[in-house]
Amino acid sequence: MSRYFYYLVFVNMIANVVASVPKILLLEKTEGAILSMVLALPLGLVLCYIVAKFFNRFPGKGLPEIMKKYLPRWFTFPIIILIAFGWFMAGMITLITYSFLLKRFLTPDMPLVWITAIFLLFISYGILMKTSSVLYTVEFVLVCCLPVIFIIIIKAYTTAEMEWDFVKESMMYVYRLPTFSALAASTYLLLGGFNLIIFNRFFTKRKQKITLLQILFLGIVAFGSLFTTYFVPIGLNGFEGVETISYPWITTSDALRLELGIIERVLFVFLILYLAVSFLSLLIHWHVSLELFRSVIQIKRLKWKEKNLVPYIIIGVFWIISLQLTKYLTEHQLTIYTSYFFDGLLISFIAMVGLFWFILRRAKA
Amino acid sequence: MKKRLKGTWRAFVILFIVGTLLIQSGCGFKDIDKRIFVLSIGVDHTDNEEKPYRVILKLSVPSGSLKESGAEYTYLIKESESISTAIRLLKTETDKELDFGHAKVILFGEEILHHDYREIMDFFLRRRDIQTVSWVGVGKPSAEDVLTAEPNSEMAGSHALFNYFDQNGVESQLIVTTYLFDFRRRVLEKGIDPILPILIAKENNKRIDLNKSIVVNDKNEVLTLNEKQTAIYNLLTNNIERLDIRVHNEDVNFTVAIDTANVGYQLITEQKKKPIIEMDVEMIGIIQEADMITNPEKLRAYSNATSKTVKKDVLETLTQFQKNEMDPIGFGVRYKATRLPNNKRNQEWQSLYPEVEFKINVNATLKSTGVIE
Amino acid sequence: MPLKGKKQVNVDEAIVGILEELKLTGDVVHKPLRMDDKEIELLYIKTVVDGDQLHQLIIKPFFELGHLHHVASYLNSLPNQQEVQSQEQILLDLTKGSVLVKLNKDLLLFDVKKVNTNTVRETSVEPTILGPQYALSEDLATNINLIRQRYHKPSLTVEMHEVGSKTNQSLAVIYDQNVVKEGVLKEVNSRISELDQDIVQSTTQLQRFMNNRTRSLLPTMMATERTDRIVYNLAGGKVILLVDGSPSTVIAPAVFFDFMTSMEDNYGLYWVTKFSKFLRYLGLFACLILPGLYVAATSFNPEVFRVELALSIAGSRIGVPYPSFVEVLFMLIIMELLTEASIRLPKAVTGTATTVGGLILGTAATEAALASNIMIIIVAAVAISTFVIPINEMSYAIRVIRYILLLFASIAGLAGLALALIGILMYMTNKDSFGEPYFKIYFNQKRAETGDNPS
Repeated sequence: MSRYFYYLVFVNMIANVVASVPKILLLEKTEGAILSMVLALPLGLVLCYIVAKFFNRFPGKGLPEIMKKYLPRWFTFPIIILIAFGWFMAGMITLITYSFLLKRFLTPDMPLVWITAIFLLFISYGILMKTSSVLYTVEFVLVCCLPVIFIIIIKAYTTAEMEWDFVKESMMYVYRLPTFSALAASTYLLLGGFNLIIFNRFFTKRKQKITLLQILFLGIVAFGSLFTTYFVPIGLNGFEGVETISYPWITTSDALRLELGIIERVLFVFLILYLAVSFLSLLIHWHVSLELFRSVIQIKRLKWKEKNLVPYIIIGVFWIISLQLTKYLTEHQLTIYTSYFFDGLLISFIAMVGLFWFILRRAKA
Repeated sequence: MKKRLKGTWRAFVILFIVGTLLIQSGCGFKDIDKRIFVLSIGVDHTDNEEKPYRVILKLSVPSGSLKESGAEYTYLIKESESISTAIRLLKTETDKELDFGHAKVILFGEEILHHDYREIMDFFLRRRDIQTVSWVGVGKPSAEDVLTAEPNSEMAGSHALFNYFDQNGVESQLIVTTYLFDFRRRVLEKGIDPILPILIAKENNKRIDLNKSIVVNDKNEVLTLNEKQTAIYNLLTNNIERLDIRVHNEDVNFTVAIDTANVGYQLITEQKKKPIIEMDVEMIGIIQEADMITNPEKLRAYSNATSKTVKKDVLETLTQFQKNEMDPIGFGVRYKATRLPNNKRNQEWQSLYPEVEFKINVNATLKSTGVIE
Repeated sequence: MPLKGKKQVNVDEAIVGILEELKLTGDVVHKPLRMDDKEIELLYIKTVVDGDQLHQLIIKPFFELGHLHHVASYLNSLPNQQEVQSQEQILLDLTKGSVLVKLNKDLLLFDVKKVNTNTVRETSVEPTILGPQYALSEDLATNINLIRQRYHKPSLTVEMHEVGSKTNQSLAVIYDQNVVKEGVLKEVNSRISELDQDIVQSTTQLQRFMNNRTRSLLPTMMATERTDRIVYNLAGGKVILLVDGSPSTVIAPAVFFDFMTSMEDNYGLYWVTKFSKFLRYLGLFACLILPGLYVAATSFNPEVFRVELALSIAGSRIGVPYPSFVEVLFMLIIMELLTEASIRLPKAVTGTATTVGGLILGTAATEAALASNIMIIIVAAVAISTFVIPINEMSYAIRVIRYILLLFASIAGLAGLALALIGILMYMTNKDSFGEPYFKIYFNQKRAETGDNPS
């Protein structure tokens, strides 16, 4: 696969470290979090493999084009709308989570709506860009952020305050049966590949096989990030103390100190880095969502100065929903709803695999 | 005409942005000279039932030329029913916004530990602007005395207390450094008890001593560790690599400087047998000071003597912990970490701990007699 | 080819017509040459024609050759003979420095232009320590000569166009046929044909006219005066545009990273150039974010940096009456004025101006508590690092971007700064230069990455 495919997967993986995934997992720490993660790894990889393989067959085509070609319109329309809405929600969760985070840690005196609005301002420009431009942006930001994130993770593992006894204590719960919400949350880390439903338009070359080695590579990275997501907060915050923390990874990063760094508190480096990565995640999700909406909602008459206004109207709707939801939700509700969203997502992604199979059959016939 | 209209429109938008910028006074825009930085926070316990907490804030007063005028500090003190009330009241006593972003030292009076220190800890953790990497300690005779002490070595712009804790400033076997997050996890976790350094203000608050520490257990009982025990604690938790040990042998008295130390232990519980903690201490070092000429050929003998001394000290310290039902090293966590959970491991350990037998193997290796023999 | 009498009804009429057009011009020369039975007529504009060359080339041989048809065959074999198409074209060429010769019933046109601008100048905009020290001249032919001298390949193609409906300047489009990308070439040509300007005086002007947006911030074509850069880019498959009378060329397409390379990078040692590249990007980054960072750190998040730094900023800001962003803006604008002034001023005064402005103003501003000490350091660092960027257009653009970042840092602190940086990044990735993505990381070989299928 092209390197841009990895970026899509990585962004999802990294962005969800700060968001609700660790929180959901840690709530299940005495239940089945570990086994869920172990199960999520092969499940996520298989899904990843299937989606890559499927889109390889249709170089340069996104899901809307493929569906329009092989499936009837009455079927395509609701499905695409549904998927687009799912992607919109995924981005929304990132947006609200990060707005809360900023409000809590970086700019506590600023109104929440104001923070969200600034985010939206930039994201609106971003999602209107060409698909290739989105990928170039993602690449550059990731290339800048990954080394620093890597250093922070290394720092977390090597700091003297990392207490491995806590980690071992949590590992003792390995025999507990997995729970669905933990499984769904940890699988979500690996589902970035599904962004291909739009980004496949960019992958126009035919010979882009996804090999076993590449899957193995993804697997190793996914294992590393799952392990880090779950165990580092436990090691630094204590097994019994970790569950009462609202943002496990933020508190964890605050437990690290770069004695000789320009910025002493890792917390701020971490916040800024995750600001960037969350932005990417949001950018990818909403770009997909916008493109999907655009592919089915086409009103030719809605024009102003030779520009079709449909995307702008969609973005306007995005703004209104996000601002309202930001005002309405509390942190706790957000975690709960996110958990529900992940549950639903896992099921619908498996359903989507069914859809792929169906399309392939039609395509062969 | 249309073009000009567009230009006006643009100018209007720009004006609007600049306008919002100028009027957005409430949006977190607060210049640094309108803030005053709290460097350390102290909490003492008063005997007043109504207002049990006495909060001391050490503030740094910015001065135009740091290098010439030296550091200036000011203190705010308030007694109140809770810390947040005290801070709210204190805010009215300054002309600037109190900024806790750089509060890196939190001191408790010893009396606090006998009361509900959990609520106080909760306050510090809940606030977003107090770092969880701030150092926690116990002030003697009171937190206030230690905070208001201004040691002679305190330089402009660098708070002496910061340097004590920061491993860059002083590196010593006698200093226990406990971060706020570490304190929290030890308090919340059963099977490991919080340990805090004790800071003692001396000589009319011109000196601060920091070579003892204090352990608190779940029942709010405390145990003060002296210098030697503090050093042993630091050794056992692998906090330090370097330490000095004074060895009293039959014929020679010497001091050993250890530069590499490694400690590991195992918990062995077998049915109907006394639980055993087997501890291995590996140390490598050189002789630093001796009251006679040392013989390089007898290094092995010196090593053995060192081992014996350390073994005795470690055993003493651990027994002391056990007798007082203190567990700063985290044997309890290790117990839980090596056994599958059955929801009553904590209680099991509580009944096991008083019966534990310590088996200590110390293997000290002296590599050299130093520059001279 | 001479204009045959058969096609044009009357050659004399044409000459009369031309003379009529040029009637008011004082420097027109219309001179018949006669000797024995030989007769030709010369028509030219004295001030643009090289008199010596005219004499050597046409007048002297006319008197030396025996017969008129000798003269005719001599003249027709001259290499600087030009094609005659129409009266308008003749007029145009006359104004450029051609001589019209009437021979029998034929009109012949010869290029005997006098060029005073063909001195090759030393590099002044992009000086390097190593590498060629001479840049281009202001004469097109000389410039093409300079380029050809450095790029010996038969595939080097020079296409001539004319731009400017009033000035009719010649524009040369130069590329290497073997390596140039078809798409880019087509795009360049179509944009040249769409050019609708009265006056094109300089190559750099093309940059603005050929950018098909009315407003843009970042340059998508690179102006350069260095011949080595031209050759380097020719070999890379780019297209070079040259306008007659302009001492610089523009190169298309140009992506962001092109603006950050100095030609010296090709001449130095590996690690040395890597280091200087690193410095350049560091400088770029510093001059972009430092002002914004200062505002964010002083007014929103003083807890981010070390306590000592926070205290020292707080100390040095004592007595500064305005909020931090006004302070930064104030100092930055003064700095920009200084830079602007030192460009416009005569070279002899520049030094004084910058010294007076920079040194005295900085000290005085802190003394008067209008700005903090640390602010002065930041402004100085910003000013210096702006000039690290090798290509001027880019450093001008960066200057503007800085204010955008400052604006967002003043609105939303560190978060605003970070978001605005990403915003700028998106603006750049969304841009393209003649079909090439403007900002993209090249991991593989450049050729593979710029292929039609980037994936």
